[in-house]
Amino acid sequence: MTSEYRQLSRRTLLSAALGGAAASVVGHGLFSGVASAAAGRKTLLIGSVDRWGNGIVQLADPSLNGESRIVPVNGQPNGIVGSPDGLRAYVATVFGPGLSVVDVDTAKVTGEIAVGGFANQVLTSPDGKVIYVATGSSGAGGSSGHVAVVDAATGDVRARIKAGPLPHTLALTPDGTQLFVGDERAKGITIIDTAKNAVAGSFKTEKQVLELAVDPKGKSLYAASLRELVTFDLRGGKAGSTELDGVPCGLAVHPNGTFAVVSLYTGRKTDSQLVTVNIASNKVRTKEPNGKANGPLTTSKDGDRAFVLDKQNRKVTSADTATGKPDNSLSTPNSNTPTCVAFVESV
Amino acid sequence: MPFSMAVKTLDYTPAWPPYPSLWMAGYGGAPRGNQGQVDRRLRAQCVLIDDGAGPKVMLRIDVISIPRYVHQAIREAVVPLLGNNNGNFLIICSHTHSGPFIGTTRPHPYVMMSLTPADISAIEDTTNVFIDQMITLVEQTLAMARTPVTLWYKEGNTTIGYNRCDEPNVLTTINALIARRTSDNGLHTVLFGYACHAVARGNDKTFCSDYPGAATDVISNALGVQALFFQGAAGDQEPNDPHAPSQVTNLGTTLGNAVVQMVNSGSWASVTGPITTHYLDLKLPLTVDFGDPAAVIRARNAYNERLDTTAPTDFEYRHAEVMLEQIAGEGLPRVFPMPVQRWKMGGLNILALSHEVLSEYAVRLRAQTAGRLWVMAYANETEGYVAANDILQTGGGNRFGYEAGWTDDSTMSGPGTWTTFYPWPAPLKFSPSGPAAAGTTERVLLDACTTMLNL
Repeated sequence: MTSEYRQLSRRTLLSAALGGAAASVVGHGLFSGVASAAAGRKTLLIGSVDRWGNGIVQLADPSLNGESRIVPVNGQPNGIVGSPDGLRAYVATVFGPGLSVVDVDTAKVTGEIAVGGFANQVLTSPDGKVIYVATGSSGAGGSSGHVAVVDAATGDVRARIKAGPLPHTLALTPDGTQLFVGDERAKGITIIDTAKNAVAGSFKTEKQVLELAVDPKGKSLYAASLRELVTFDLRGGKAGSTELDGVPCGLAVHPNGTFAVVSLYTGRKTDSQLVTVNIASNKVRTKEPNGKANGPLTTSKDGDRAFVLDKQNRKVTSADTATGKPDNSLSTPNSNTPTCVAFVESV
Repeated sequence: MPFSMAVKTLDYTPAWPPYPSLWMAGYGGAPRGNQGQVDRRLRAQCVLIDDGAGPKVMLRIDVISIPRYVHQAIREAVVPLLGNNNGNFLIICSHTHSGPFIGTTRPHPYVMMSLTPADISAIEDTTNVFIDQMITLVEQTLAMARTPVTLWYKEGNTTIGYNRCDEPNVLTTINALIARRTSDNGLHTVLFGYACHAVARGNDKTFCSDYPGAATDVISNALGVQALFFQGAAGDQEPNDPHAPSQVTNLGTTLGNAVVQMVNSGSWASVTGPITTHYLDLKLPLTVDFGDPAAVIRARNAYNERLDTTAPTDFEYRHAEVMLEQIAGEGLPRVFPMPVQRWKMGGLNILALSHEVLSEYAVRLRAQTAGRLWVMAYANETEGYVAANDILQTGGGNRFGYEAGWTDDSTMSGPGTWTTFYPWPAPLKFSPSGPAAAGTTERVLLDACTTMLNL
């Protein structure tokens, strides 16, 4: 029995070493390298991790058909976002340095930025010049996190903002002036003034905030909590809520601002759900079973497609947001567990 | 008083072979396996002090922690070599968060990293190698020729961290004990203690002894002798930001230079001896008596509910699975064991507390004790945090209950708190208001320490 496990462990070490070698060739300081791509090229970015903690980003066609390109990154991806021009992906990772820059066109890591480990969600400013990374985890041995503010051109960390002990989720107003931060554990939201890179305020919520989003018009903030999607004005006034059937694990708002898309874990014995919520009426618009796909989600740039991670079955599912019905799926390579997803379209 | 001493250092930095697996401990959220990267190497060091009445042995290890069963396995092998006196053997962990995962119970590798049963078995194999190495190190030290020495102690001061619970206590005292050869009064060994979480490096996959290892290197290089670090009551003591590889050197150099300066200056007090030792296996109460079948049913229902209302990838989901397994299997624990140990060395008292003890205990015990008292923590075994009554009372009100072990409901483990990662079904018992009452954690621990210090 023991020797069998030892054999397994040797494989573990070998695979881990290979993953490490792939990551170790990454250069530094290549943040402003010229990237180019045909306008309108659409790419689905799926971060995943193998059982030994080696991370990759899978660059897939949003149809979920055809070949994917694979980019090894340094450690488990926890959050991912595309630059507004669609040329780069910023990947937040659990292990330090914490932020990897991926050239989408060449499928290569072009830089790593030391924001600290335990990086969670990541966003870019609307002009693409600034990257915001939420860091912190209750798995950090009691250490606190921060929101790192990164210059996209130089890779310099301009500020580390203390915005609650364990910043986890982020949402930015369309004009980029206000950044909302949800903590891994807090019942409340912190507001950062991005001009000052400082905390401008905070407000309490009734429940722990699991996901955040701002509507495209910049008037409302949506906070997903256990069995509820709450609408706030940007000063924290509660403007409405919608009852949900479970634990929200992914949230996005359609670019036209009419509805939100939520992925839900509904319990051990029931299917996960993909739900769309009419934002104006706070009513559930569609509610479809989605197997075990209850992870983070993203939508296409036009909002017509939603992509949800199924961590249990190690795949991403796609759905038409008009009907909410899942219609395709793509497995992650090497039985990796998907951890984060984003959509980019080059301009 | 004449003493004799033997000191042996083992570089045990795990590598395959002989270590079957290289999973790392300290941080959760992602599988964390070392792939051969080493920054500052990991030491296990054994120091033997003989006052003429038999050897007393301290084994200090650059490792985050060892759970109870690992501690007991080492102790059972070593104590018969020390006159069957439990008090004569002391283990201290540095609490580096960049070392191997030792043991498979608390912390729990599944809760921390979602590892498979096969990988957890590989950690068990690694643990067995580790245990053998530690026992062998002690045996080899016991077999070494002993050098006649005199012992001296002194306190210094430096600041490399802060209190992360926003409590007023920031522990800045450096405790130093040196041995000088009787033959020529030359420096033989330096033991130094400080209380601060060894997390300066941050989260990566590199083995590193963190700031204690850096300080040890500074001292050894400057003074040409072996230096041995022991950790204090650092449960709420956090090193200064940022946590990054460079910070290991920065903070370790600050601490190491302060110790070197102490050694190179005067005002050392002589250890007069003899050394007397005491060991007690205290039992701290939990908020719930799981000897009551109704309490177990309530726990089972609550943890089952958690599985339906928490995302399956969350720490607390896996913790709930572990709790339900325990309920169905060996049963839930009814107490929180806490070994407490004292070495009295003339006017110097060393009190070695197991677990991640918060600074309030060190401050209070020092204040009430005549003469010098040094409080060590992470001693012998580490299976959770031990906070004072006010932190326990506050629950989720302070840092979402990380050090308290609960958030909204004091009858069960708080999501993302220490009782999640060191899986316990409920936090330590406290008085819901006012000072700690008899039978609650703070009172039980302080009373036991006071009694032991008065022996």
